[in-house]
Amino acid sequence: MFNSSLSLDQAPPLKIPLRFFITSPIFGLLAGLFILGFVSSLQARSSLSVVVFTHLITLGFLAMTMLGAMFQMLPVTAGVTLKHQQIIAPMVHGLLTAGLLLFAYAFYNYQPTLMIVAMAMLLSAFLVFVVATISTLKNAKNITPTIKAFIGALASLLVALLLAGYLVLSHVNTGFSEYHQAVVYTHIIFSLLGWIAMLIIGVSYQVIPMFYVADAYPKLYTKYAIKVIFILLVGLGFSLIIDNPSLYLLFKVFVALVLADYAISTIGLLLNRKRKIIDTTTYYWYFAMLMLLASIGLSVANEWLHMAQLNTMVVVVFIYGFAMSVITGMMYKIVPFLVWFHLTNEGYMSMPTMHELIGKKLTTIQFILHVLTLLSLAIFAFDSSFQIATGVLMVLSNALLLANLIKGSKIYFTKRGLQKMSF
Amino acid sequence: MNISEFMADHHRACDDEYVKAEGLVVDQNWVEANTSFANAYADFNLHFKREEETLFPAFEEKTGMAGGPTQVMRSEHVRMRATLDELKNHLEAQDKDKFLGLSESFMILVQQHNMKEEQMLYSMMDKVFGAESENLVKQLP
Repeated sequence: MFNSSLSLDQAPPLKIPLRFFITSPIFGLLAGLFILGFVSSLQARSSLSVVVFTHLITLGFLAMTMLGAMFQMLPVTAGVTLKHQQIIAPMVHGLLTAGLLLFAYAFYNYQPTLMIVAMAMLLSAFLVFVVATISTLKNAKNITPTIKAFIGALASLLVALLLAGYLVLSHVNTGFSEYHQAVVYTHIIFSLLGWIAMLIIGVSYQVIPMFYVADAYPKLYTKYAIKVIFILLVGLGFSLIIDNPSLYLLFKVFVALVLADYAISTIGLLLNRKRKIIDTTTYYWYFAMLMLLASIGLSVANEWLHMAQLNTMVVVVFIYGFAMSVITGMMYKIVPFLVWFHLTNEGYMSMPTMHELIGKKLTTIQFILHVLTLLSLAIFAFDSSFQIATGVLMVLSNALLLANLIKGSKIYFTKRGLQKMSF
Repeated sequence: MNISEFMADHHRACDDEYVKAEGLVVDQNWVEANTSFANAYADFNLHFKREEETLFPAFEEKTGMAGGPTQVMRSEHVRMRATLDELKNHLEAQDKDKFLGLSESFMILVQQHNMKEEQMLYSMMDKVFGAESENLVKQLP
């Protein structure tokens, strides 16, 4: 029952999660530049420039940070450290970064051979991570709801990747089967509602009580939500493949209810939290949950309205409004905490506090820029004249996020003004 | 009450008292903040004492795991104690910004520590001690 794999203290070195966190706003910034240069409209959703833009955000920003966060959270939640993390982390990070850059180039220029190479690189990045995680999780002594959510998210990621492989191959073979559209939608469903939403839900179970001294999520929810979502997603994919719209709608309404329940519970927990201090991360959480509710509402409404642009807006609000907001809010807590944690661990004193490391003014300005970017991006789904505004705002918002994260973490490397405790 | 229930409840009690002190610092109500912080300080130390002097040695004896998770928890206690002392200094100096800035780290440190104990260590203890678990709780100071 007990062996040496129960490691309660093996927080990974700061470099491991930080390289992922710092890279994500760089991809956000690139996505903004890409809009300025190459995305004249979001309305043709299947156009290759929109596909590239979307993946710069979903893989470059979201998956990038999510992987970094998992390297950090596994020891705390499961009492295990990823084996060979010193090699795995840079390998996953390198493959994801290079694979995504190549993906953007190959898709935008429609170079089938390079598409396959890019896909293979991205696939290996995730597979290396998944295999390492699963082989480590075998040793987890206590499978908490967060770990179950990690497993659900990784399983969804695998489904999404397999479907992505199929889509890339059909581009290369220039043959789209009759299932092409159904596969595209199932890929989107498993990426957004499986991989991204499940992981964020699982992380919330852990960080909402941890950061805000709030109550835990209801036991009934933490026990069943992930399983239920996964089954519903399979149902959604199945009804798309057999082309049964009423079955699809039924599954969709249930997924909407489970996700809305999460958003409402989170808002409730935050409102009733014991710590009354309000900081930028709290704004980010509230905003993210409201945007999740908005995307759910719009998506269900569109079953009756049938507007293509509204569908685009749903995806925009989900990705940029919900997922990116939660993740940014979390980075603003995690990065200064880890810097403080590692420096005090190494015996430094007279440390700046977490609040001083970045500063509320800068994070608040960045939050406002983020909200404006989302607003502009949502309008851009309907009105192509918002291209420049959206691109410029996205560049500014991500540049400031990058600057803030660097400002918050550089002291760890420079050690400027720090004194070491002498024993 | 078994170990998990009793000790998790006490975590909540420590949090409540500490958060109350923190809220009073936000309002710059230094007199009440001092009292409240002193209570939280005593609560945290009582909690550490219960673990370090009773629960951990009993667990180590029963399992033969002296260098394992309990050792890690002990070293985290050292760190939390040091941070509590630093917070106390900021409180005495009535330095609101320093106090609240450090308080942010302290709360994450504490919550992270509590989770490890509640999700892993305490349930391991209840399993190891079985029926004895309730007696151990009764012996706690």
